[in-house]
Amino acid sequence: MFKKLISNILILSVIVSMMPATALIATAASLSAMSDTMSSQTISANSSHVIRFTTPTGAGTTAQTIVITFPSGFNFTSKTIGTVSFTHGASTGAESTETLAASPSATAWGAAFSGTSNVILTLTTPTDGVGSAVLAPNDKVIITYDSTNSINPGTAANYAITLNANGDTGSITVPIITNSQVAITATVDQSLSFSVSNNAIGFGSLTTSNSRFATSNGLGASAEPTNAHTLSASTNAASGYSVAVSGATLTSGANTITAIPGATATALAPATEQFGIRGNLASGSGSLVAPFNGAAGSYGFGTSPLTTQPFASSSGASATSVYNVNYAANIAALTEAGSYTTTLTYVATANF
Amino acid sequence: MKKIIIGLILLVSIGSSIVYAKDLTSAHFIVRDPSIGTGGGYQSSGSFKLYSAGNTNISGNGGTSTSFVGRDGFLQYPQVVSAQLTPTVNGSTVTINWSATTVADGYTVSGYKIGRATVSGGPYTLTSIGNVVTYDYTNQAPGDYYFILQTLDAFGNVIATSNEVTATVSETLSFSISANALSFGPLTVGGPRYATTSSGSSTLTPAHNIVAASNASTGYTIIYNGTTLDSNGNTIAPATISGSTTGTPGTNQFALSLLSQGIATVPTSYDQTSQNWNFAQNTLSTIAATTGPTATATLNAYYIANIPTLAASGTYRTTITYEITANY
Repeated sequence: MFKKLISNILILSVIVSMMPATALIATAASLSAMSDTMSSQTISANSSHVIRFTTPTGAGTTAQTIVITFPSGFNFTSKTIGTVSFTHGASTGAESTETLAASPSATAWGAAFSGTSNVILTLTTPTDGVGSAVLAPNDKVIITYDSTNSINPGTAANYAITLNANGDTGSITVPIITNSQVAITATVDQSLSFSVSNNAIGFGSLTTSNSRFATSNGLGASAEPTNAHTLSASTNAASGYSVAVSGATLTSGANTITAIPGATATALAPATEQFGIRGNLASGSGSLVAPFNGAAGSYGFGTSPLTTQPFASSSGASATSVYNVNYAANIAALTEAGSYTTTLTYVATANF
Repeated sequence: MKKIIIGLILLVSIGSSIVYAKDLTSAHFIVRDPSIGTGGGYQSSGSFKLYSAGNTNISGNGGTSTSFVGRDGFLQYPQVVSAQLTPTVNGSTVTINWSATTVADGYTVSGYKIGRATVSGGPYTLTSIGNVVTYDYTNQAPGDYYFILQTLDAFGNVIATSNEVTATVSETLSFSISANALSFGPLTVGGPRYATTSSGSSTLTPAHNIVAASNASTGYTIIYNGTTLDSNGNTIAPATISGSTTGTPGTNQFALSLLSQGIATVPTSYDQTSQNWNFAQNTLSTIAATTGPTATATLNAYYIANIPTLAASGTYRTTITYEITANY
C-alpha cells in the first residue's frame, strides 16, 4: 500500500516535470488603462468605439484570443469586420496595425462577430503567432469600431463592456444617456449699407468747344475731376451686392441732350450731343458694369430713360467699396438753349 | 495517556489570570445596575473573564465597582431578537434595512451601530446611527461589502450583533446635460453674445449644466468634441480667450467655458473662474475631471460668440458632443 502511494507520487512528479514550462507559468492578470471613447453616448445613436487597454500578458502563440463583449442592448447586427481596426504597440503612437480576416492566417488575425446582435468580437492570433508584430506583454491595444452599424442601446443606463485578452480581463463601464449632444445656433443678420456722397451736382454752362464734367459744387469743370460724387456700398451677403442706376438723360422741357448709346463706353466728342456716366473703383472690392466702366474720357449711358441698368457689383461679402462717379456732357452747335436737368436714382441690392 | 493530555490542557487553562466569580475585585471593572452578563458579545474583555461550570450572574446595587456582589447562580442574558439585515444596491448606494431589534426583561434599545467591511468577518468600520431602521452607504466604490448591525441598550452597550450580510457595488457613471438645444440669437459686432436655452443673451449667462457622478475609484473625465459655428462654409473662428468675460467684440470668436461647482476640476484654459475660454475643433478635449469617487458634481457651461464687421449673414449651427469616461 505504502509502496503504491510512493509510486503514484513519483509518476505524478514525472508528469508534472514534463509539462511545458509555459503551462506552469501562465497566469491571468487584470487589464489596465482601459477606456472606450465613443462618438456619442446618446440612446439608439450610431456611435464609434475606440477601446483601449494594456495587456500584461500579451498573446504570442497561435489560437489565443482577444474577446470584447458588449452587454445586451448594443446592436452590431449589420457590422462588418471591415469597419473594425486593431493596432497595438509598446507605446502610444507607435502601434502596429494588424490585418483582420475571417480566419487567422500567417499574416492576419482572425476576426469574427458572434452572439445576439453581434455583441461579441473575437480576435484570434495569426497562425504564426505574430502577424504584423507580436502582441507583446504590456502592449497598448487599440480596437476601433467605426460608427457604421454600431448602435447604442435604446435604454439609458450604465453598461459594462467586458474584455478578455488571452486571459487578462477587465471591464469598462459606459453610460448611455438620453442625449449627449448640445445643438447650438446663432444668426448673423443681413446687412447692406449704401450711400451717395452728394445729391446735387452741376455742369455749369455747356459748350461746343469742349466736354463739360459735373462737379459737386454745381459749377462744372472742363477737365475730368476725381469725381462728381461717390457711391459707397458694403454688405455681409454671401453673394455680394449689385448697384443699379435708373433715370433719363438731361432734359429741358421737350428738349434733351442725347445720351451716349451703346453697350460699351464711348469716347467723348465735343460739339455733338452727349450725356454719359463713368465710374471707377476708388477703394474696396467690386467692379463697374459696362457701359459705365470706361477709361478716362470714355462714357456710357444707353437708351434713355434707363430702367435699373446694372452699374456696379461685388460678388461676395465685402467691406465698404467706394466708387467714383463722373458725368460728362457735350452739346451741338444748335442744341436748344435752356436749363437741362435730370435725376438719376441709384439702388443697391444685396444678393442673399 | 488521554487523561494526561486533558490534564495538561486544564493546567494551561487555569492560569493566574483566571478570576473566579467569588474572587472578583473592583480593580478591573464596573458593574452597572442592575446586572452584567455574558451575552451580546461580552463573554470576555481585556480586564476580566467570567468562568463558571454552569450559569453565572453578577448583580449589584450601584453604578460603581465598590457596591456589587458576585454570586454563583444562573447566567442572565439580555432577551434580544437581533435585527435581520436586508441590503439593497442602487448605483453606488447600498441601503441597509432592518426590522427593529426586539428586547425583553427590562432591556431597551437606544440605537444601533452599523458596521461595514471590505472582507467577510471584518474588521468593520462602525458608525453610530441612532435608533433607526435604515441606513444608506452612498457613493461606494465598486466592490464587495459586508455589513453587520450592533444593537445598543440604554447604556450604549452592545446587546446583540446581527448576522453579516453582503452586497456588491458595480461601477457607476451618471451623466446628464440639462439642455440639448441652445441659441445665441443674433450676433452683433458691438458686443459678445452668450448662448442660452432661449434666444441668447448679451450678459454673461450659463447656457446649461453638466451633471456627473461616479464611484470609479480613480474618478472620471468629461470630454467634448465638435466643430465651430458654421453657415454654409462660413465659420465663426474657434477662439482662446484669457481673463475676459467679453472676449474681443468685433472679432471672430466662438468659445466654451466651464464653472465647476466644487468637485470636478476644470482645465485652466476652460476655467470660468479665471474668465478663460477655449474651443478646440474636431479634437477630443478634456473639460473636467475627478480623481476619485465623487458625489454629484455640477458644471455650468458657458458659450460666447463675437463677430467682425460684415461677418457673412446666415444661420450658424454646430453640435457639440459631450462624453464621460471612467478613469481606469
